[in-house]
Amino acid sequence: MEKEYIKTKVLSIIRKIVKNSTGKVIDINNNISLINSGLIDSLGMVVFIQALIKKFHINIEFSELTADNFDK
Amino acid sequence: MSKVSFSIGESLTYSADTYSEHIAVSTTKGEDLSFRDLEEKSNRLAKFLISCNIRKGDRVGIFTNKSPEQVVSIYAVAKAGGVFVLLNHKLKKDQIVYICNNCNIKLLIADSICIQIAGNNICSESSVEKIISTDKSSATDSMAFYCFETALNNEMTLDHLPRVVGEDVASIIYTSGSTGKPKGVIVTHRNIIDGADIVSRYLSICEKDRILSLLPFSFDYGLNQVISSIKYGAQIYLSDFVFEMDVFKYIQEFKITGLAGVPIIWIKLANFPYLRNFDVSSLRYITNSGGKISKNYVYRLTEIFPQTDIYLMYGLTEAFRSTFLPPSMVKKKPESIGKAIPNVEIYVLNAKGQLCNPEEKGEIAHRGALISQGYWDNPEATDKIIKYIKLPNMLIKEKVVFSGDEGYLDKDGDLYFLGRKDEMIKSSGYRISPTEIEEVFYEEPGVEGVVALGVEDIELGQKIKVIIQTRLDVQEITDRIKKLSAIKLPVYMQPHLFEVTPSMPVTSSGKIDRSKIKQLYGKV
Repeated sequence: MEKEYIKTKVLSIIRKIVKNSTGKVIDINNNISLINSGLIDSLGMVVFIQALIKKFHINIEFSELTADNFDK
Repeated sequence: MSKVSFSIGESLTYSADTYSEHIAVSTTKGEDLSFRDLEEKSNRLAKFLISCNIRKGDRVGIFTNKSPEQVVSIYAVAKAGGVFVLLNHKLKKDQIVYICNNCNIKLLIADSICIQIAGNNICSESSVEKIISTDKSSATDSMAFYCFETALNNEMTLDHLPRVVGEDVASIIYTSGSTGKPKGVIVTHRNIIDGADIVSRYLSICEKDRILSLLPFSFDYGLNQVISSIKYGAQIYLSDFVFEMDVFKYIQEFKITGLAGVPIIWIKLANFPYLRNFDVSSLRYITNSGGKISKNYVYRLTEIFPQTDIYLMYGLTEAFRSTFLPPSMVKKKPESIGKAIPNVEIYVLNAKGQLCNPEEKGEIAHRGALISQGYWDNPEATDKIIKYIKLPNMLIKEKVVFSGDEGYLDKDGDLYFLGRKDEMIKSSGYRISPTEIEEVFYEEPGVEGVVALGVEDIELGQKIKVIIQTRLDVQEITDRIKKLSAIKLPVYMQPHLFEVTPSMPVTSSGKIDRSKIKQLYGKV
């Protein structure tokens, strides 16, 4: 899959989750830290990870779940 | 300066004099703020707030992510004589507008994302007149916008900050009530300082401690952690709870000595499969409040943290903290919430307001320190919870908080929590504690959350419904739960209905949101 395609899809998943948690369309750009900003909390993260697994048919290990891997 | 402080501002000034260049606040990304920096920055911001026309008693909203700026803002508002209202960043626009208008917030300190959530036109839609943005990017040229950094660089010649005494209102803490709009609990400087002193005394918090903060400061439990840490010279690491692994990583990396959590956090940590890979031996104590942890998980925690003191605590925002079970008792009485904290007395009262006998169920009441000043602009609700009365062992009438929680004292005087009075299930003529049912299902491996509630039923009065949170297969867990129910519970306490869900709604402070669950599942 192309990098740009993946990026667009991931961003659209994030926007949906953020809209659900904040009730607003928030300007998400590359510089925003999703966790530190509080935009995605632990419940939102569960939804996000499930969506990633489903969309891209990937496997995410427990040991990969750290803020450093997501908060970029 | 005297070690005794009467206000939040004074407590920081004392710490800045004593611990000076020690680190007071850190982020997990490596940002540090010394006690001296924190004092200096909050003084500057306090003076800027006064120049923005903030006067004694004016409400100032703080709507940011957890950050050093948030801590500076808390102390600055307190020093300026204002009343800080911490807004949880999970709140949505309508709730923000409601709270701003409810307590008439004049000025809002917010980060750029929170400003987007509140809406750029928050000033025209609510009582807010001015905004200080903690991000440069969102500060516009508008008359109503100021930049946090500019505010701190401001060289103002203002010699004196206003006089603040312990009885001055320091904060309004909004709690999501079980019905209707959030209610603002009014707390004074004395309430907050007494809370820090009492908690630090039984947890022995000192300058050697490194405390990991996972809870939001809009939650009284989270706020107490930061105020206690700063008052007693400890270092607080600001974080949020998202991934289990990060918590273990931070404990190991920063040699964390103290950690506070709510049941959901402990359950997730206890179920984390790689916890043995981390060194948690630095952890001197952990505390639980904001709900009861089931016995099974209490035992798990004693295994995971064998060298750590575990404190099980109980309280409600209206009186902050009431009891704790000392670590030495945790294995003996894992279901108890212990005895009254220092400077507080706890009663269990029957419907006539008389003291209950041991083992007799009644309403938990709180006397002594930490009683709040009631709800903002809501005298009716205040009168229901804070009563001015004389109980049998008092000489004169005084304020007593009626918690609305049901419980009992055992023969040793240790307290047991049964549930909210209005959440007791009435089925087949029995009055049943949801907590007692929930406790049984927490024994089943893989169960991460349980809520028992009563749903209307013509024959029984109420049927018992149990909602289980798990990642396991629905059919498999339902079968196991039903078996467990038949073995462990008397017939009248056995649930009639089961629902399984992968995640339960939680409140902004991370507790299971029982009222929302009731809305979602409260029907047959």
